[in-house]
Amino acid sequence: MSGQDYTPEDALKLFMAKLRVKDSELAIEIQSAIDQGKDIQQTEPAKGRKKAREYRKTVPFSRQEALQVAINALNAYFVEQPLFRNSCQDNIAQAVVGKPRRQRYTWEREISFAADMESQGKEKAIEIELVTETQLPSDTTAVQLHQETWKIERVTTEGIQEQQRNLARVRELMRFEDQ
Amino acid sequence: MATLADLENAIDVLLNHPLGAGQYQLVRRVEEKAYEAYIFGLCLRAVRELGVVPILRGISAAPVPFIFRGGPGQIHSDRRNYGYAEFSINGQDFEIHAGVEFKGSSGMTHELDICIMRQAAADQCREDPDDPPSSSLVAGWECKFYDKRLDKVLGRAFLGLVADMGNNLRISGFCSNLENAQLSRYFRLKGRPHPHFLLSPLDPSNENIFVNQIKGALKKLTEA
Repeated sequence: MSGQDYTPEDALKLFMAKLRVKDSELAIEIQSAIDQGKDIQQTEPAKGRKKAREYRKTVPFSRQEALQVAINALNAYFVEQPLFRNSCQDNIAQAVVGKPRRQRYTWEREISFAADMESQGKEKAIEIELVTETQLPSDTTAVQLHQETWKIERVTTEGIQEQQRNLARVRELMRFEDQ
Repeated sequence: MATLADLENAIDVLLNHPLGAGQYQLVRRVEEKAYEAYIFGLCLRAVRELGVVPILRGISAAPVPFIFRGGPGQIHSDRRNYGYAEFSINGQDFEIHAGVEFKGSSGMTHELDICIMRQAAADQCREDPDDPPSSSLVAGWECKFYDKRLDKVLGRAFLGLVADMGNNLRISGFCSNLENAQLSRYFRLKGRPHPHFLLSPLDPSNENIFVNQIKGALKKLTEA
């Protein structure tokens, strides 16, 4: 180790402890990403008449690799998820809002094609259903949530860039030259 | 030399940011659906790049707000004012849906995370409530937001679904923000869904590949 006065093990312990305090569910999620391990190609040397051969083996991550896996997982939540929301907002904004298209009567066909052309380019309200149509009202999820849908709200580019820098900083502090 | 205190401080800044642990608490219940909403948006972009403005609809009223299903559902369901999009190219009418169930060739129903289908069949199923037939399906995608290694069983399941969707399906794909080398090899075999790995705003070139594939398929389909 050259640039840090702590080991990869110290860093992983501290990181997971901080995560557990902040959000235990997130800590469990990150731990499960780490515990998946990785595939490597193992070589079995030639033995007598048996030729050397390669085979796949799943092994645990090293402490240093585990740190990078944890950072990648956080990147998915802290950076990618906000980007998905913004991209969805951008593309839906470029569509126009139309009237319902259910056609019970023939004369409704005409009306159904109507759309508000001025809505193109304007931000739209977008929501994701939290309580699905098959869930019973007494379902614990619904009770816990106190809301039936979740609004997809735009996130500032500055906020995302800040988190990208923060992730890069932690990643850098968790990069060790040797172990 | 960096100290443990430096690391502790950097982790605190990261987790305490408005897009930190609090953000996770917000998104964990909808992370998969938010990814589907993103892919739905890319389909709208593909249509727009063909020179057509897609129209947003709701099942029972104007789509304000535009609501994505939280789970697999039926195209005719009006429990909420679920949203979808419609567009026409060269006189052929299509719709884009999220989380709608189809009747496979075998009769078994399957949910497609995102799909493009023929509008006539969608109208029919809204008028006389039913699941749309697989023959009405033009394109379908499985969308997986993951923070860790993708499970291989997801790929096998989607391949089985596509096999039950008949011959009218022009494009199918498996989309994820992550990659999996084994799944990538699995999908590269002829006739299998396209692997769209690392499909995320962090990699615009992968977004372009996805969008161009839709444009190409729709052009070819509507030229005939």
